[in-house]
Amino acid sequence: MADVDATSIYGTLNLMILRALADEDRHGLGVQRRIEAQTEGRVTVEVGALYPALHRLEAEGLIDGSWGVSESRRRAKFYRLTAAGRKRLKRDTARWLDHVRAVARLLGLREDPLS
Amino acid sequence: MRPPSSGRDIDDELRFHLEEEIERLVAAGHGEDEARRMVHDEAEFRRARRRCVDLERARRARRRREDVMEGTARDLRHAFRTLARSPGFTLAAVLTLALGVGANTAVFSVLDSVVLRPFPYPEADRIVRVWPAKHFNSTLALEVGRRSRSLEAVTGVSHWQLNLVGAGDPEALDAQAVHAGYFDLFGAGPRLGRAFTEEETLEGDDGVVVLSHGLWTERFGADPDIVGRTLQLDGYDHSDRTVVGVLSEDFVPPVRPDTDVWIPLRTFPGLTPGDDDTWYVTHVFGRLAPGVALDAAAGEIRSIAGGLHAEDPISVPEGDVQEAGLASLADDVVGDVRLTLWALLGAVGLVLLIACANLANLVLARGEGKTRELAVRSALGAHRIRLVRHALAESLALAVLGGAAGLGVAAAGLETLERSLQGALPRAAAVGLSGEVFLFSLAATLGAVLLFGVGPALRTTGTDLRTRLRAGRRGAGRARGGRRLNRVLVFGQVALATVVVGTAAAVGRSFVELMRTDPGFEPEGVVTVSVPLPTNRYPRGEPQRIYTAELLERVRAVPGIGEVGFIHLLPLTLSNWAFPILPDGFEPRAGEPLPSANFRVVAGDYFGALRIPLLRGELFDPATIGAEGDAVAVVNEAFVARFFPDDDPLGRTVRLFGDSPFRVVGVVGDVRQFALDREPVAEMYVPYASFSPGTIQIMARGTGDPAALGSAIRAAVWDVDPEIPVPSVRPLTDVRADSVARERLFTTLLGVFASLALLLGIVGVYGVTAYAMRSSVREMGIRLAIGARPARVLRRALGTELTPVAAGLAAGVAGVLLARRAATGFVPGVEAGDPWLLVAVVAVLGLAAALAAWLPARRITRRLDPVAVLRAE
Repeated sequence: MADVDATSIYGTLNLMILRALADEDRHGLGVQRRIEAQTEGRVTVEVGALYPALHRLEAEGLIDGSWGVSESRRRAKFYRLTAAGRKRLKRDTARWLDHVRAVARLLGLREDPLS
Repeated sequence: MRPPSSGRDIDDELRFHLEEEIERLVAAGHGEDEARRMVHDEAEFRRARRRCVDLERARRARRRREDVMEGTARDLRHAFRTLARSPGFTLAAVLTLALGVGANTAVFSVLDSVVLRPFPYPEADRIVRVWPAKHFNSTLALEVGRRSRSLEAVTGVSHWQLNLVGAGDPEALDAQAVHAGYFDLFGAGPRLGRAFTEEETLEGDDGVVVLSHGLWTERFGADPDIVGRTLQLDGYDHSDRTVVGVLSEDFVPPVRPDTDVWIPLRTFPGLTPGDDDTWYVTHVFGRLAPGVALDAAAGEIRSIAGGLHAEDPISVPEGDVQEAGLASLADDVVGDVRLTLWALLGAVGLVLLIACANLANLVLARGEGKTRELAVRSALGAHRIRLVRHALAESLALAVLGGAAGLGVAAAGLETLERSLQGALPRAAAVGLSGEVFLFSLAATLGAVLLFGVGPALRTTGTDLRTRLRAGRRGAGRARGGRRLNRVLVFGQVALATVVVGTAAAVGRSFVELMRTDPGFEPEGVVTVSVPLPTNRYPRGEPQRIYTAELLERVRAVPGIGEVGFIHLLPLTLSNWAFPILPDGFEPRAGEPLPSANFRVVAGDYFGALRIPLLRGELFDPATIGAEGDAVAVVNEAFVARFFPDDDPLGRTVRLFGDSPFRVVGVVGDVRQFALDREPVAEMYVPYASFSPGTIQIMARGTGDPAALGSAIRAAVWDVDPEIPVPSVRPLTDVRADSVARERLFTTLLGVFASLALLLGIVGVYGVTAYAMRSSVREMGIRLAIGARPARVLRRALGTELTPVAAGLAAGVAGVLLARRAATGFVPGVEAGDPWLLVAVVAVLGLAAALAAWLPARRITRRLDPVAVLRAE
C-alpha cells in the first residue's frame, strides 16, 4: 500500500482522531504521531487538516480540549474523548467495516479482507 | 462545553507542535536551523491557523445567539413574576391592550374576509363582470361571449324564486338560471352526478336541475340516490325537473350565496337578441383569456357593444354603449365596501394608538417609581442595554397577555356581530379568524409594544445617572424630559379621541337623519307577506287575476286586519321596475329614447294601508280587479311635476312602452321606493287587473302583535292554495331597518370605537395629571410655604396640565374635518357636518378632560402640608 494522506479517504480523518484518543488523552502532535505509528507510517496527517478537525470535533462535543503540561514540560492542549465521542467512534467503526466489506464484495474479492 | 478558544490559544497550540518537532529532530542530531526548515512548512501552519480561527469564530457567534435566547427567556420569566406582583397595573394594562388589539383584530378579520382574501374560484382575479350596468337576455349574453376574443366561459345569470311543491311542505327556493359555462367559470364541481351541459340549456331540453349541497342535506337528507329523481319546481318554465347533480359543499356563488338550485338559462338557437324576450339576465360573467389585460378586454366589449347597437338599436340602445365595459369580480361584488372597511380600520387603529398612549403612561409612571432602583443598579455597573431589556421584556410579557386576550375579544365581538354582518356586507358568511388575522393581531400587538414600551424604557434609563440619583434623593424623581413626553402623550390622546368621537358623532347624526327621512308612507303597524305567484299554476292573465282577488278577500277577513293592499315589489329593497313611457303631449326630442318612469302594480287598498295620501282625483275602483277593465293608472307628484307641469293630469293618457294607453285617474304623494337616501322619482301605479307581475307583496295594516298577524295571514294564504310557499313575513318597519343595515353596522361600530376612545382618553388624562401632581408636590409645597393661596396653586398646576389638552382638542377638530370627508362612504350626508355638533363634542371632551385633571389635582393640593414637604428635603 502506498502512502496515503488521511484526508484523501473521505470522512476517515475524524474516525482516526477519535481512535487515537480512545486509549489515552493526547495533544495534537500526539494524535498525529499515534496515527502515523499505528499505520506504520503509511498514513500521514497534515497539520492543516489535523487542527481544524480537532477543533471541529471539539465544537461538536465529541472531544474535549484542556491545557496541560507535556512530557517536555511545555504548555500544550490535550484532548480527551467524551462519552459522546466514544459512542460516535463505535458507530463509525461499524459503518466503516460495513462500507469496506461492501466495496470488497463489489470489487469481486472473494475473501473478507478484514477477517 | 468549553468556551471557544481565542486566536492566541490557537497560536500557542500550533507553536507547541512546531517546537516539539524541532526538538525531536535536534535530539536526533540535526542542526536547529535545518530542523526548523524540515518541520516548518509555513503555508501548512498558516492554513491550519486560518481554518481554526474561522471555526472558532463561527462557534462564538452560535454561542452568542444561544446566550441571547437564554437571556430573553430569563428576562421574560422575570417579567412575568414582576407583573404578578402588581396585579392592579397588570390588569389595567392587559385590559387596555386587549380592547385595542381585539377591536382592531375584529375589524381586520372582516376586512380580510370581505376585501383582501381572493374569491375561492380558479383564477379568480381574471373573472370579470361583463357590462355591469346592463340587463341582458339569454341570446344577447351568449352573443357578446361569441363575439369576444378576450373572454372565455361567458355565462349569464338570472335570479329566481322557485316553489318546490309536491314533496312535503312547499318551500320557496332561491334559484340561479345560468348558462353551462357557469360551472367551469366558478370551478363549481359536482359532489354527486354532474353539472348540466350546453345542450341542456336549449329550449325544450332544459328540464334539469343541480342542487346545492345545503339543500341536498337539509331537504333530502343527503339521499345518495337523488340523481335521476324528478322534482316539481314551479316558477321558471318547466315544472318537472330531473336532478342531474349536487354541487360540492365548499362552492359558494359570488352573488346570492344562499342559492339552493341551479337551472339552465334557456337558450334559443336561431333567435337574435331582438327576438328573445328573456330580459331578466342581470349578471353576465366571463374569464379574461390568458395574457389579456382588463383594459384591453373592456375596449373590445365597448366595440362589440357599438356593433350590436348598429345592428339593433332597440336591444342595445345608445346609452348602453356608453356604459359597456368590464368590472373585476372583486370590484363588482365588494366595490365601495372596500373603502369603508379601510376607513373603519383607520378609526379603530386610532383607538389602539390611544390605548398605547395610556399604556406608555402606565409604564412611565411605574418606571419613575423604579428610577432610583434603576439608577442604583446602573451605578453598580449594570449595562444600560440590560436595563432596557428588562423594561422591554416586561412590555413583551404584557403584549403576550394582552394579545391573547385581544384575540378572545375579537372572537367574541365577531360572534356578536355575525348577524348584523350577514345583512350588511357581501361575502360576510366567510368572516372569521384566520392565520392572516392572527398575524395581523400579532403585528398590532408588537407595534403597540414598540409604541408604549421602548420609549419609556429608553427614557427611564437614559438620563444622566447623577442627576437621577440626586433627584431621587430629593423625592422629585421626574426629569424635565419625562414631563415633556407626558404632555405629548396627553396631546396625542386628546387629539385622537377628538377625531374618533367627532367623526362618530357626525356619522351617528347623519344616520339618525337618514332614519328620520320621511319615506312618504307610514311603516309602523304594517305587516308584509311576500307571496310568489307560480306561473305554471296561475298563468298570466285571468287565472292570476282570479287568484289575486280571492287572496285579497281572504286576507281582509283576517281578524285584527284593517286596510289591505298588494304591491308587486317591496319598497326600500333596492328593487325596481322602470319602463319607457310616452305621456300625452310629451314630445321626446329627435333621436332620444322615450323617458322612463318607475312602474308598480298594486291591488286593494294599498295606498290606504301605507297611508300614502291621495292628492287629486280618485284611486282605482276595487272592482277593476277581476274584470277586463278600463286601463287606468295613478301617478305620483314627481310624475306630474315632470310630465304635466302646467296641466291637469287627470284624464290624460300615458302610453306604456309608447303604445299601451293608461288613463290617469289620480295623483298620490311621493314615496321613496328604492332606498331611504334616494329622492322620489316619477312613478306610475297600475292595478293587477291590467298587468300580471308574478309576485305579490301583501301589505296589511293591523293592530296587535305583528308576528301573530303574520301567521294569521300566512294561514289565509294557505287557505286559498296550500301549495303556495310563504317565504317571509316581515313588519314593514323591519324592511326599513334592514334597508340601512350596512349604515347601521358602521354607525354602531364607530359608536363603540368612539366610546372606547373617550373612555381610554379620559383615563389617560386622569392618570397623567394625577402623576404630574404627585411629582410636583415639592414645587407646590414651596409655593404654599411662601404664602401662595391654595386655589391659586391649584389653578396654576391645572393650567400646566390642560395646555396640551387644549392643543389636542384643536388638532382633533382639524382631524375631524378631514375624517368627515373620508366618512361619507359610511352614511350619506356626513360631509356636510354640523358645526354645533362639533362644538358639543369638543365641549364634552374638554369638560371630561378638565374633570379628569381636576379630581387628582384637588385631592393632592388639599392634603398638601408645606411643612412636611420641606422637611422631606
